Amino acid sequence: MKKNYLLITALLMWSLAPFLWQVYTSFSTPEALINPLLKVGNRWTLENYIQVINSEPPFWRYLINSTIVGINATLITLILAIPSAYAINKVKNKIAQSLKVLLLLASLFPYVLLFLSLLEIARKFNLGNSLITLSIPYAALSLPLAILLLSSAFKDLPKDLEEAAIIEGIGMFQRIRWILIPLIAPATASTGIIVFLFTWNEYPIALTWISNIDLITLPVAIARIAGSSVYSIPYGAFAAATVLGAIPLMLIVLLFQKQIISGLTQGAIKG
Amino acid sequence: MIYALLILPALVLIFIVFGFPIIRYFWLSIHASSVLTGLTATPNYGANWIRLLNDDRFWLDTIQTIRFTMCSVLIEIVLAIVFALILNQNFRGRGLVRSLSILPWALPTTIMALGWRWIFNTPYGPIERIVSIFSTNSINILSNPNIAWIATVFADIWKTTPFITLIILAGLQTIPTDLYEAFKLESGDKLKSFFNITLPLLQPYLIISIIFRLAQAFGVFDLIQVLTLGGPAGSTESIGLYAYLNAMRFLDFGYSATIIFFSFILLSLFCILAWLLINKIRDKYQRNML
Amino acid sequence: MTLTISKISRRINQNWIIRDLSFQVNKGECLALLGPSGCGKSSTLRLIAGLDSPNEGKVYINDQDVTDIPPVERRIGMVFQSYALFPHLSIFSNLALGLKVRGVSEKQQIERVSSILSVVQLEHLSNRLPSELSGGQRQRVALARALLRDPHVYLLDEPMSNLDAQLREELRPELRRLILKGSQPVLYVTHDQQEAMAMADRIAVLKNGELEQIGTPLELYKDPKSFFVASFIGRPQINKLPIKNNIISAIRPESIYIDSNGISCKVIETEWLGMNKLVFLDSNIGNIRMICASNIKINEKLSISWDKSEELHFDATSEKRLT
Repeated sequence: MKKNYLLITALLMWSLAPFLWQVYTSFSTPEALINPLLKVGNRWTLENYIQVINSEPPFWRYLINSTIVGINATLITLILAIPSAYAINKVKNKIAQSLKVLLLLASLFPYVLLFLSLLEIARKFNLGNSLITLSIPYAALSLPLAILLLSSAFKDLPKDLEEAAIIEGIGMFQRIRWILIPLIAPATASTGIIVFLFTWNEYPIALTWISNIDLITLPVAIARIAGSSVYSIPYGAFAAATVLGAIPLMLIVLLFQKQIISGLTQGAIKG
Repeated sequence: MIYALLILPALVLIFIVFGFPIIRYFWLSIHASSVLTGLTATPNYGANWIRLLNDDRFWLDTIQTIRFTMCSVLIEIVLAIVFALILNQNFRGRGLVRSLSILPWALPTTIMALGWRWIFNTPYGPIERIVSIFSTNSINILSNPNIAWIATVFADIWKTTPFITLIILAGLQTIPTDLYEAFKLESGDKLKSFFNITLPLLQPYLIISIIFRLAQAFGVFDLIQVLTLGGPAGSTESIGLYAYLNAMRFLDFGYSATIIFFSFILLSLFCILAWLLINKIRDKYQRNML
Repeated sequence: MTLTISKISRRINQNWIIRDLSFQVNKGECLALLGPSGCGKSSTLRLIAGLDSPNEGKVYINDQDVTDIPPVERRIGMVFQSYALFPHLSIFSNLALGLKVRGVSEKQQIERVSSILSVVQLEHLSNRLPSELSGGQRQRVALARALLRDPHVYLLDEPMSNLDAQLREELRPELRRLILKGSQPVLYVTHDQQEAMAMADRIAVLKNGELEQIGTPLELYKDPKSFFVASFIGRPQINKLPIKNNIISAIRPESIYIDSNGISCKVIETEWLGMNKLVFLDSNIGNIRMICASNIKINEKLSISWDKSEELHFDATSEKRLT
């Protein structure tokens, strides 16, 4: 038993230590970062946070941008994925089967390599510098996994339920709306949260599609701090930004732990 | 048919994002499309491909990318199995520990890459500080070409292990406990029960994680861009980063597309190879050991 | 009101699920579709409900051809094996949903659902979720939903197979009172011959998607048309005697009696059936089952006999009855 707790502590240290170091840094004065043995007097500070919050544009702007893109992309994904997942389960032929394999391949694909073509599309149709249009490629990239996750949820529903509804005279769209969507709600929540997390964290496309400083998302904004200078990164301020940027995600993870885990693992099991 | 209509909008979008680029990259790879041509594509009859074959930087990046991928995935899998075994036990606060252990995966790569840059900082980062207690020489983690790539692998492992841990954890939970109990009647050796029951039954989960992570690690980009910018002396540059630099810095879309298209081929070969290898190992062991 | 199916066939790829099946269920009649699992009985039900369509043949409800009309318009009251109650809706909403989509006014919905709930004696549970009900209560909700449909035909798919033996017996009278007493034809799918005998006016025995025999329970018992029917109907199972001249002879366990002049046997196994005992005997004509009132012990020796006229004879190749 004792050995057990030692292992658990080690696991927690591994997962949290880098983050705790950020928290420590964010409350330290620049002098303290250089000399950790500094006396208590000017050891700790809130200056880093004040600097981040008062920057121009203010830090919460990026949080809002990321949230807008995240919610948009999640909604678009779910609206398109739910009917698709329903349909792909209903059709039982070779086409549907190979479609599922293609979706699986697409969801495994390292999407980073798609950035160039997506950038071309954005230029051609003038889709850059808009949070709404940015959600479209995000939704498209999330769709294969979302369809697979939801279709396995549909598949797990007892067939009788839908047939009982058919006999009652409930039409297809009403069935989806009143019977099936409420029943796959847990899977929908998992899928939605995973899509949201992906979108919130996405970097290469956000980097290439958005150049307007007022519209950049959180990962881009933070990377930009790093890019400002290779050698003299304002680490204190940056660490404060990291901590602030991580808080929403921590909340999501703590609140939706079950959904995230079931979403990720369903993908693996059913895929 | 109505079902086709339901799925059509999603398929169109998926095709634009996944299907079209592959065709487009191939097409671009046989055209010149750069600042010199004013970014309008003009056929250049395979010049991009010849350049690629003779591009030492590209081949170095390829080797580095493969090195990064192999190291990262192998260590991750082993680590994830250990973590999953720990998390699969019953203890108080298991839910909270699980949540906290997902955090590295949930945080944006760029944010944590920047965090790692500070941790690897010379001389103020914690690692250099610990080293300085024992030695007067600094190891200059991020500016030593022999060490910097290990730092990128380390950061990648930290970030993606939770994901595999969860998949393996799900796998562990599908193994019925009676199997372990039945085995206990035969042998009390926990290690034997791991190799004879746990590992074989985890196989499908291991395969899916390995293939998925191979593909993702092969496309590594944002981590390296933020952590090292490919340096020092190009020692951490990946194919993904090189393609990005060609497009965004050198504004040579034709060549960038060639690199990406070539890496598609490489990646597919890679995954097929991994798949065959795994199957061979499975055939050899599964029937006879169990 | 009648239900007729005529020469129905259904195949998936090359496999026949149902082949050339015809029967009629008359007004107020209950027909049990009986057979082992995989014999096509549930598939037949789905074809009648319109959840699947036949490759060949026609379905008539009240002499109207419904083969190509959608399930809704067939007015079917169906009870599913799993009950198929919507788990996210209260009992009330489960019942009201069908009325709602068919455009019944809200006031009417409440009235009709409450009255049906009082018929099945579940008024007090109308706000519960299905998961908060016992198996028997769920079953009654499923019945109520079928009743509420005011159907032309009732289709019951193994309605009691998820209940324990005691509940089944309690629910049988209720099922008769609510559904079988009506004027609608009832098709009752089951794999349990005892249940079929108890509930149905007539039984259709299916084997490999084909109709083996159709008749009243007594007809099937007394006058089976094939060895399959003879061995499927009646428990304990009929005894198969040694084949002579390509003829299978069979005798029911309940027709065998102890007779000192009969065939000598040894008791190898006994099972209590309640009042009496099922006894397994070993003899020179093979293993024989019989029912005995007295307390017979293993290894005891006894002699048995039966009335030759009670024997049934079948052709050994076709397994059809010889007369």
